[in-house]
Amino acid sequence: MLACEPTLEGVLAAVGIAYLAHVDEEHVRLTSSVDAQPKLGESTVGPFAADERTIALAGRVWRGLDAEVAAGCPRARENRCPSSCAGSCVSKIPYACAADDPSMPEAVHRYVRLAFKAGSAVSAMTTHPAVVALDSLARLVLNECERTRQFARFSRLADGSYLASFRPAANTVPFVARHFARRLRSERFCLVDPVHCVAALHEADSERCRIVCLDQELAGELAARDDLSSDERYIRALWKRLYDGLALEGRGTAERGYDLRSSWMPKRFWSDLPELDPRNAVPGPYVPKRYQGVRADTLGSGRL
Amino acid sequence: MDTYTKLGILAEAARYDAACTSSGVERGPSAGRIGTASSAGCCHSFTPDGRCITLLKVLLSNACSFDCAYCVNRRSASCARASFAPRELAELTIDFYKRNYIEGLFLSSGVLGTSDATAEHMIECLRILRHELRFNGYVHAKVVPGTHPELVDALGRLADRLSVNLELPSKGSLEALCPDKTSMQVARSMAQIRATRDGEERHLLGAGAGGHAESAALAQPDASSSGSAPLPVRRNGAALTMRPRPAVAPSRRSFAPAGQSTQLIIGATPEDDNRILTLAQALYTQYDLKRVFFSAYIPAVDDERLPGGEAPVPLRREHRLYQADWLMRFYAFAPNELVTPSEPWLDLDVDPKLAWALRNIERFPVEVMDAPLELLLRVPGVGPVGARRIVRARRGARLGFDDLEALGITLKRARHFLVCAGARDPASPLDPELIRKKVVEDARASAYNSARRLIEAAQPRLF
Repeated sequence: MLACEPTLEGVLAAVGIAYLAHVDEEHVRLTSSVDAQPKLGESTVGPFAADERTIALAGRVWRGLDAEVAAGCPRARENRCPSSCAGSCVSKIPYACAADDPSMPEAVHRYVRLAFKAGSAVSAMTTHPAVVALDSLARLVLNECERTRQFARFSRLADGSYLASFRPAANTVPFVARHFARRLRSERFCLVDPVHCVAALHEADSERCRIVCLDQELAGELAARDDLSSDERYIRALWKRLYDGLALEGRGTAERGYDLRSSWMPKRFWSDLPELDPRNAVPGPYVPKRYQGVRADTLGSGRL
Repeated sequence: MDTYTKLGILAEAARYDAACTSSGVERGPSAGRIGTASSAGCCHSFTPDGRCITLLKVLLSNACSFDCAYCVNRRSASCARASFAPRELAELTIDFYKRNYIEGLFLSSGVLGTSDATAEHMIECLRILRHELRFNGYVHAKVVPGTHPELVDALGRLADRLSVNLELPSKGSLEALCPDKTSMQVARSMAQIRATRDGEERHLLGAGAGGHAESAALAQPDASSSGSAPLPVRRNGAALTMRPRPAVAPSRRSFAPAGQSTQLIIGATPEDDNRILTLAQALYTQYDLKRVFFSAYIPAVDDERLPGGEAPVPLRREHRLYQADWLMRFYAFAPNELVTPSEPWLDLDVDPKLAWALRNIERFPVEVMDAPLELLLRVPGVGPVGARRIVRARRGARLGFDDLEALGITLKRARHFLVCAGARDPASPLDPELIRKKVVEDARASAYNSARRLIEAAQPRLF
């Protein structure tokens, strides 16, 4: 059993170590160092420290994949690679490595070994167990990235910046940071994941975010910040009011026979959604000036 | 009245509009502006009944001068009235957007005296949003029937998508229930939107591109794609169907780049599904609509011309119409393959694709190893991504049913309609009648169909 950090660098370095040690893939099993449990009769090696040498080894494995698998594809060699593909037989590996699944290191190991053997033909081997396992993990992470884009909720802090704390079931922040940097280009914000201890930090007008790894304590402190702007309570109440106002009778779970909302919006996210927090039902006494009402409303005359 | 109170009134007033998408245009960040638009859209929340919330969906005002019988905001209704100030609503859009609550604004309104006065207020709101507050995200604007063409044009320069709601599926029903609107007014605005988009397309494609641009709204049966191109893990399934790509990318357009849509109310008037789907096809073809939305009628008003309060919401009928609409737009089904004048209603227990397969069971089973893409797309349980995966995978290996399951095919539905290198699934009966019986029994036994049958059985057919 070869224990490794459950990261892209950790797994690729472990694959490289097994290869350099001339160990056949049948005789080595990669596991995450977080929950490594050797089987009966299995000896354990690693995890190896994430130092310059292991990172350099991971880089070497990655460049080999790029050169022999992605760039080795006949289409790529002839510059006919469609934009819909563009080396995805290799680029899906980082997505798979972001999965929290304990089987991830071994799934990536099997796939990388297969990719080096088969070259670019691996993209057509869609029913091979190693390809199916990797695709399944990559798809899981991609779905979780979409959920991060959907359900991360930002709050305005007293210093004018924005903060969102989100707890995905995969390490999605590095993948979605660009999306939020484009969306909120003009704002200073932080998107923190206290589960995977990662944060994306963005300065106003910057094109990119910085991705930082945090320790558990700091990640928790960031996520728990409650120095909100004076408007925030009212805005959250507005959002919840809109949410409640859009509900329609006669179409719910009882009438449908199943809960459609939960299938689209998993319950594990509900506790962090302001629209589902009963505390936001009351806007409080403070009303921001822009929402105090400009002039009296009418009954039927149409004047604004 | 502060914004919190107004929002309650005006969100409830807008909730019967079924349009729910923020898709159709890709727009990257722009210096000094806030927001982007994504061609796939993004649903940020879901109502208790499972409908997507992607936009701030409100009426600018529910102080309506029209008196449409089905509408809770009609002139003769006694309900709380409110109106946003244009700037107020624009600021709210920005506040919600920055918090990742929404992708943009869905702006409709009750008729403030006249259609033109309404449009002017909406334009003012969108002008503040786009030009003063520099919003670069998604905007969907409703056009009130009868609005002057200049104002429709101005709205289209500020919004990504425009809608003119037909609401009722026949001229007779519209005349009976909406004394202040005519189908001609609706058609005129739709035609103007199409003509303006076509003109812009010709201009962008350059001299020589004359005539009426071909509609890309519906899938074409002879779309030339073998489906053998590489299929990465991340891909929008709808982009892999047989719908033709538009000649001009939406991001290059300045007038309503995400096109136009409309809405039909289902169950308030007697028109059958054949009438509705035929009408939808005509709207797609004639006006190049991107979507026809179907809104199941909810009895919210007392009117002798409409179903009473005890009538169940026709949820299944709405669902089946959406499924049929999807088959027309993406899978190259014609309406007369789904419903006909002699069989004008979609089956409520069985989805339209499965119903078609059962009616045409002599065309099955389909051989997985050599069936063309368009035939694979007709197999229940095989979608555009699954079909492409099959085409890719069969080039390298002989596929079995275990392989199909690994490719993500819904075998529970597909197993009866496929063979793999001549071999049938052992769990599938050989006799077509037994297949039909099993499939229909399974469909009827689902929690969804069981619940709906109980509710709907309590009511006689209303028309």
